Amino acid sequence: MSTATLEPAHDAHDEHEHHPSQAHHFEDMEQQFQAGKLGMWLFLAQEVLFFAGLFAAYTVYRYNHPEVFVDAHHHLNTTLGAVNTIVLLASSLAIAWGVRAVMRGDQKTLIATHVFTLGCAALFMGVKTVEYTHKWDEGIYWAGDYSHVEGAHGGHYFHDLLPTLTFTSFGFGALIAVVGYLWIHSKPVRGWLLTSIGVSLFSMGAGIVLAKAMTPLATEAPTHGGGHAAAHSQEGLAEQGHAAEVLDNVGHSTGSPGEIDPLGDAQAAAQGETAEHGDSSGAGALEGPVSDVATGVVSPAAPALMQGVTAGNFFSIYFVMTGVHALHIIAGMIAITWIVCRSAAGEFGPSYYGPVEYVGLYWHIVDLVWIYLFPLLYLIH
Amino acid sequence: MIENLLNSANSLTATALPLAGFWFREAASENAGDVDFLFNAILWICVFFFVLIVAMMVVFTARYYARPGHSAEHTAHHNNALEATWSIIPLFIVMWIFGAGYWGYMNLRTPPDSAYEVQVIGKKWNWSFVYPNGYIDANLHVPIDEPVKLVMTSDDVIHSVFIPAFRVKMDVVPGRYSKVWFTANKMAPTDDGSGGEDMGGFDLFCTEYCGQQHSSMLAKVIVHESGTFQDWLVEASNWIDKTPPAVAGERLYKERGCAACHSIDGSTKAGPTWKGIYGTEEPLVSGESVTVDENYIRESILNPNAKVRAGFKPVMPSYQGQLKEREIDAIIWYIKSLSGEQAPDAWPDLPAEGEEGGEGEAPTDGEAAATDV
Amino acid sequence: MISQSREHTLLETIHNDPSRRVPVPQGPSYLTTPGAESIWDVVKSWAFTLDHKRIGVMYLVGIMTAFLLGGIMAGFVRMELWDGQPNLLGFLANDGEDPVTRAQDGYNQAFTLHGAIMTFLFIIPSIPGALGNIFLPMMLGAKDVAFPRMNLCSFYLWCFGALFFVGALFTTGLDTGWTFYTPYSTSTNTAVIAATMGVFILGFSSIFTGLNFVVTVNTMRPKGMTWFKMPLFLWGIYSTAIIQILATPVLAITLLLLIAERTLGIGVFDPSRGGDPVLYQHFFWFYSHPAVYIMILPGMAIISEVIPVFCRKHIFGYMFIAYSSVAIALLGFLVWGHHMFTSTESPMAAVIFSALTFSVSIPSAIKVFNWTATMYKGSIVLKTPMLYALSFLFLFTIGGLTGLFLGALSVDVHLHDTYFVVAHFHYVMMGGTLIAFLAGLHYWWPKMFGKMYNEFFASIACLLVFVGFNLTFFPQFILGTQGMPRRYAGYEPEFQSLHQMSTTGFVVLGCGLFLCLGVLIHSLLAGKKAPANPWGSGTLEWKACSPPTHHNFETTPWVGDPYVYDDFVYDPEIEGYVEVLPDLARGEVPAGAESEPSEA
Repeated sequence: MSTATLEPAHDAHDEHEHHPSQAHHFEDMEQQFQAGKLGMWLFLAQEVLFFAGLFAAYTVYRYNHPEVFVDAHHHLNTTLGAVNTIVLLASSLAIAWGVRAVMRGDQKTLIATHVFTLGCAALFMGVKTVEYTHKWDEGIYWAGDYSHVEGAHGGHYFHDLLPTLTFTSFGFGALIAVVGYLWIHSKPVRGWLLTSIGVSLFSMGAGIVLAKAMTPLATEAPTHGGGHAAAHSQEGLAEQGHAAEVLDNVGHSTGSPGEIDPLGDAQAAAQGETAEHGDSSGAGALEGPVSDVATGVVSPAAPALMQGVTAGNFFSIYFVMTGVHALHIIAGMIAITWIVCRSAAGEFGPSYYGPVEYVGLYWHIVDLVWIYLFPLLYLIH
Repeated sequence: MIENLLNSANSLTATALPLAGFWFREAASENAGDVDFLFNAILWICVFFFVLIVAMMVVFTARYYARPGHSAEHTAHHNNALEATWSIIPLFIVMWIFGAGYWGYMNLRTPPDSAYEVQVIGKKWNWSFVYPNGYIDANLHVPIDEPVKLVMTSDDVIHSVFIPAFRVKMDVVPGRYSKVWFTANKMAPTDDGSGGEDMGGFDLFCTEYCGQQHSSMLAKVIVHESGTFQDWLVEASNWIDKTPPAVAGERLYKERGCAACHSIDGSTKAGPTWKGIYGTEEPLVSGESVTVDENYIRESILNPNAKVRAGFKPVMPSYQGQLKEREIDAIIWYIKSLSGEQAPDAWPDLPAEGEEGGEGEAPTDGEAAATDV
Repeated sequence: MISQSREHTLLETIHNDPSRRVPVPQGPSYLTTPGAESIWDVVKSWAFTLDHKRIGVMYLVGIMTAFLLGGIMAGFVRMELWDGQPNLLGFLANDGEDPVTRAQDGYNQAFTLHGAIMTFLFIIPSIPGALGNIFLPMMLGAKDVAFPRMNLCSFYLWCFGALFFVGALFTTGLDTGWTFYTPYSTSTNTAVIAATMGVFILGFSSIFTGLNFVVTVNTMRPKGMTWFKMPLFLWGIYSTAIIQILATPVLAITLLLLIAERTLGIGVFDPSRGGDPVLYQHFFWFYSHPAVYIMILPGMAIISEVIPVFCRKHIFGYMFIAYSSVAIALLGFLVWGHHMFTSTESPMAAVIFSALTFSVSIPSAIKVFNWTATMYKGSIVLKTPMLYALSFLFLFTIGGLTGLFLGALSVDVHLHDTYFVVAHFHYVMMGGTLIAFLAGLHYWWPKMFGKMYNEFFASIACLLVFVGFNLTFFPQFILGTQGMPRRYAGYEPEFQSLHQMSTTGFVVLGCGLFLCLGVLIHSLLAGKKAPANPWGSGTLEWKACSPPTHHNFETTPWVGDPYVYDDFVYDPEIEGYVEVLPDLARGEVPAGAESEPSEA
């Protein structure tokens, strides 16, 4: 590791020796660092705007269907959300500590904090895995595939995959981490790379176990033989909430008995899935105009503002938001692994630590987005 | 291509522009005058500034072009008074434009309570205008000098109603009702009020792009002289009883949107052709097959996607509640006549006044009573 | 005032005392590949280059190709509209047997691809991607942009996005209009997902370009170049870059939601699932209105460079032009709703958006007045770049003023979605951006490739473009007020003569553009070698040789006021301008030093 400290020189810059990491088009290391930092902040601004679109969609949806949101969020497990929040906060603290360490030239702490951050990120992903699979087993999908039946017992398909996933990640994670750890002294970069991957896998398994330990097992609730959706409070609320918007009495087409929670979905299913076949936007869900043969009075189809709204609408937003956030976590993990490897190669020190700081900034924004997501999705009243 | 060019070159001389006015069609509604006035005001403001800038450009170029013995003079690099002048004067001008536009827009968006209400349903790619008594027409008929409010919704994608002569436009969005209103105060120039094929009328366009036949999604606005509108409506509502079934079916085919997807010449559009299909056995998407008889046709109209013919997509919207029993019967007769069946010259069982008969079919469950909208 | 005698004196000075000439550093051109042994080496060195100038040249080739493709589509559209019957474009259609509906389908494909390709592949990346990439670092006297690798990545993202588009083009096509409005875009069976993925990727190309430019301008200005000594081109590109960074991600997430809507049915925009199709329009225009400023601001920036140089006069109202760029960029974020006055948005929203829309007109007007004032008492050299700049003033004035009709609420109700809108945005995007792009291309061509083009034929091309453009689009204003809707494959007979004028104009315009291309290509093959400073410009890129070396400058050039031309003199021997060093011994000061452009 070159520890040649560089005095930032603003004038004649061709005389002194260049830092090995300095690009040719920069005058000095200071300018390079400032440029990178500004670039990162702008990238984060771009990220904020990216998520802002989702928050806007959330706001509009919630404004249009408040009762659906309040009703649907009961399916979310606040405890798991809180655990994930704490885990991410801890990781943010660790990475900030790592940036401070590199400024002081403390290699050991730099690497340790970053590996710890990776562990936290993977733990977060493990908990998310349990949350997602649990919902899919219950038939809780986005609006298009939502098939949750209130009170019915969900399937086991994803649930049954979890043990395999857990043992795989524990086994492989431990193995890779140990091999990597043994390599650290002879081949530091490769060693820390494997250690990082191993720790990530292992932590993901740990996250799954932790989440399973905290969630009550799906109770064997007696299935209501075709419990009527009409009795379900959500629909009643929707009726009241939007009655004013409907000009005429809407005859809900009785597509199929209320086996399925949403009343619009039965119709959508009856029509054939819209998304793939290029069906005309589910207009069939507008059915139920009434015509009086005696007077020949026909009223047009009523707008569908209230039909077809299900808890699936909330979960559309939920899955898109948390999904996009999870993708950012994965990207962050890759970046942090890259930092660990470069740190192991001894490239960073007090005179050059730009990338460490930039990745740290990125990680903080990912954390910050979650800090907003958690109350918006889990703590609705 | 070349032939086309030649033909149109010939027709260019033959057809004069039947357009009143250089910029606009003749205004035919009460609010149109305000819109035209504001347009013309902005036009003159724009002409003034445009001429000013271009004149300066031309004069400067002519006076100061580079030539031997001439060189640029030093003048001030900035002049705050000048900058302020040409910022503030335009600012006041655009504020006035904004205010005038705001005032006119609020008029356009605020229908009077007494307005006569017509419901509009947009569907790919035709319009249905539903009158208070339930009669549905493919064109818009309105009384003269009376405010008319259109309450509009769409069955599939976004459309938009645009009547240039009235200077009104409003999108027609699925899942919500939009409103637009106007008071027609002129008869359409070529309107003879008799209905039929060439009834003239004002143009009504769809202006929100809605797919393949967007440019065919047209209708006419027919303005009725004062006092004649109600008579027309009563007359129009009972047209089917006085029309031979197959003829009535043909009119429904043209006016109610069947023609957009079903041909009568054997060619395939989005839906199967009607030519010669009555009585045949046709394969379905599900792999079964079905005999095209009265029951299958009726089901296809009311619940189109229950039995979809092989090779077609389930894209037809339901006409449940939008076609009366007698109209469905007329369409069935029309399809039968396309397969060479002999249709009767009149409804064989025309019931006494006030009753509806049809082919003796009971009204279905899906049709409950409804009063005027 | 520069008198004849002063010019004469300067000319004598440089002939008598060559040391008074500001030296132009010489070196191998960036277009050459030293040490290459085979064509393969050359290809590799271009493909992996980090040199901003080479990346800019590759962008130039790319956007020109896209422009040609979009132009062909425009030709299809204009051909179909020669008469009112849809009958020509059936070969583009997907399905349907009936010739009329096939032609309608083909027409829909043609105008969609024309719009989408021209917008996303050509106009948005054109000036920043090609000219900005080459000249932004050079104007700063820098060796490169701040992040050269990211710059190359931007270009390859552009290529990748373009591939998706071409893929969509050759599979099922695209018929949604470039706006992808739901619910039509979620129900049509054309290649919406491929196209939106393409736009998504192009968006990131645009974001990275903008990010690079902001960082470069912020951190790499040379000593002495304060914010208000920057060339106005940099102000324009800087404002554009801010919009690129802040607006584009919103489009990215919108398109992601659209793709999710199509594949999973998430219901955000789908009315049958409780979604809101108009929400999509809000999201879309939240990006796409700022995007039109991404298109026009760089064009204005070029005009701000060209006009003072060819008037031999300091730009008038530097501060106002600089600030108006930023003002346009920021106000541009607040007016998206004016695309939706008739889309059932609440009257309240419409009124607010209308008011804000008019506020954007003021900075644009300020710019036009300042450009015109710059010409006052100048010495106007009517070379091709200046001809394009004057065309820009003419066309952009029409484009801007017709915006007033569309900003006025009640008038817009009548004009919305008619040909008036089509004419308006073509006057701004094409009469503005494209013409400015051509002005910049002709202005910087000698610097980029070191060759002079044939001035006479280039001027003829400019004239043809100007006449053809007006003939194409002016009739469309009348079509629009008469009520001809947009995106119609057929129309009523009364519109025919205006449409035929328009199509005729398109042919003239096309001839002009091909002539322009021919002139430029001819200059590459047989043009005269260009001097370092053919027009006598004062910005830093002209202090490098033509074409520049790989690293542009040996040492950072001295920075003065970029719009003072007193020390430049035309030297007939080299057929270019020479900068004269002040005689410091006699107490002379450089010309730019005494005139601070800032208000301070």
